Amino acid sequence: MNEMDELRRLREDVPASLPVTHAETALLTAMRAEATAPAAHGTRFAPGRAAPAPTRHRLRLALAGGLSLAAAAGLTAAVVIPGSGALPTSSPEVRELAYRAAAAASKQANVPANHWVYWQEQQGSGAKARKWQVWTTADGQKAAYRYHGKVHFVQDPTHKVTFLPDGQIIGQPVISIIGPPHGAVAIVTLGGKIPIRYNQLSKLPGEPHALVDYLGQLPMPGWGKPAARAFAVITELIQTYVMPPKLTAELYKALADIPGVTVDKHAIDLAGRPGVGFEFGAAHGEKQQLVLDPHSYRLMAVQLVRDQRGPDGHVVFDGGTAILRMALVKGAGVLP
Amino acid sequence: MNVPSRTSVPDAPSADEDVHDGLVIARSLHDPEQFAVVFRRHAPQIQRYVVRRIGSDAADDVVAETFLTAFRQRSSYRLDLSDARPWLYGIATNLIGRHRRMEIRQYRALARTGIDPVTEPFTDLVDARVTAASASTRLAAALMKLPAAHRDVLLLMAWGDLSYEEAAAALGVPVGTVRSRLSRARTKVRQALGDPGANDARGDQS
Repeated sequence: MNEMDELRRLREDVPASLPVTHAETALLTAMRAEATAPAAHGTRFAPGRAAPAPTRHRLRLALAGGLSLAAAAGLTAAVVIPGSGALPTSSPEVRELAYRAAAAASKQANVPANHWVYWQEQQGSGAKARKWQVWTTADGQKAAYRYHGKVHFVQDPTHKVTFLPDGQIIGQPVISIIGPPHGAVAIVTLGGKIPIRYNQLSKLPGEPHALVDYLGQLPMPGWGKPAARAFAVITELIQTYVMPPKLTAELYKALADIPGVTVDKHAIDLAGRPGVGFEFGAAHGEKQQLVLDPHSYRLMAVQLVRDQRGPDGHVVFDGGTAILRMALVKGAGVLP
Repeated sequence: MNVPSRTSVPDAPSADEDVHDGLVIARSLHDPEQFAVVFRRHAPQIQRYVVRRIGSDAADDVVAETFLTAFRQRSSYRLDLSDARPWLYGIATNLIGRHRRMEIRQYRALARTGIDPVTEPFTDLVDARVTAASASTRLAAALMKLPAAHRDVLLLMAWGDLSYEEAAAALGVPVGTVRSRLSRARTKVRQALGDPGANDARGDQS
């Protein structure tokens, strides 16, 4: 027996007929998208490109006059699904977007847990839009923001607040600055009970189905059915932590395994930018959107929008955060 | 909405199974879903090759990306080529290159422990793994040390069953380059297996 024969025997235990479901779904979606695309304006997603920056976000600023703290909590909390019937299985479009987002996320650099990240973000839309500069560590354990020209540190991000209406917000601190835009009162409140801490991320199930099952079973009273919980937690994790790229990719993949998730190929974020969005129906004629850049698949926004457009045909935003810029920096208050 | 099965290869349209790959790809330029025939013909082989190289965890994404890339680039495929395997293996091999560290890490694990992280999910009997370990560990150690380009040629031929010409087409290099790389790679592997005549490199394909 020569060396080529020995090589052919190496790993011959790998079965000849392995499932090719993932590839099948991706290809089938691409084929059908092309088959149905108008000649000049195809409906295919743009090819994935490596994004230059991590794709995650974590801190939300809730403003009086914009979002109240309760409304900010409602962004992810008010996701009880109307009715009790079975939800439709995710479509090929959802799977393709999940696949592309995962592929882009997996190419990102790993950011150490204690590394500082700068975020420029927008709260609210239109005349109520406010832009903020925020700094956090990748694990969300330290946070700061600029207000009236000064950098304020969040002293204890894990401190629990007791006056939240539903008593629970997952993720890292939610900051509520109460008062008119130029008012004198600035109150920082911190929430709350975090079902998955950064140092627990590595213990999450690695397989998308198992991950969805696990997240859907988290003890989160008032967060709706398991599918709603899973979507909410994934959304929250993606915007809260700067996670290991592989985990972020798994979370995006898991979105495709949540019944009821759909895709808006022509999503608009609250900063007015076009994107592609994962959607999940919330209560009260609203839906949650996780909006991604259609080319790089970086996270652009997490927002709550009305099912029905306004009289002028524009999307009506009920809350959320748009990420305008993100960069690694040397510390809080340092600009990129 | 018509939801595809999660467990089966997509339905091939009515393309004649005897039609060679070049013509199927030509048809797919006007009827994209014809490309499912190419997928059905070759996906299992490509999947197995990729799994053998980098393990099943990363293989799913690589195989998906291989066929998406092929689908998008099909207009550049030479339609007179009857067998798309070299083209597909070439795309897959390029994508595997992004996982080189993982590939090396798995060879290293096999070389050190005798347990192969790639085949472990498919093997229930520890005894079987151990029995195969002696040759496998030496092969893994040799593969680990090969230049990537040499390893690509060697494994395209050993695991992909490509000929010299097909491997050259897959990698976009002259056939002479393939012969040279294969010869050097085989020499290294023979040395690792303990062949005293290994320095007498042969270029035969066997």
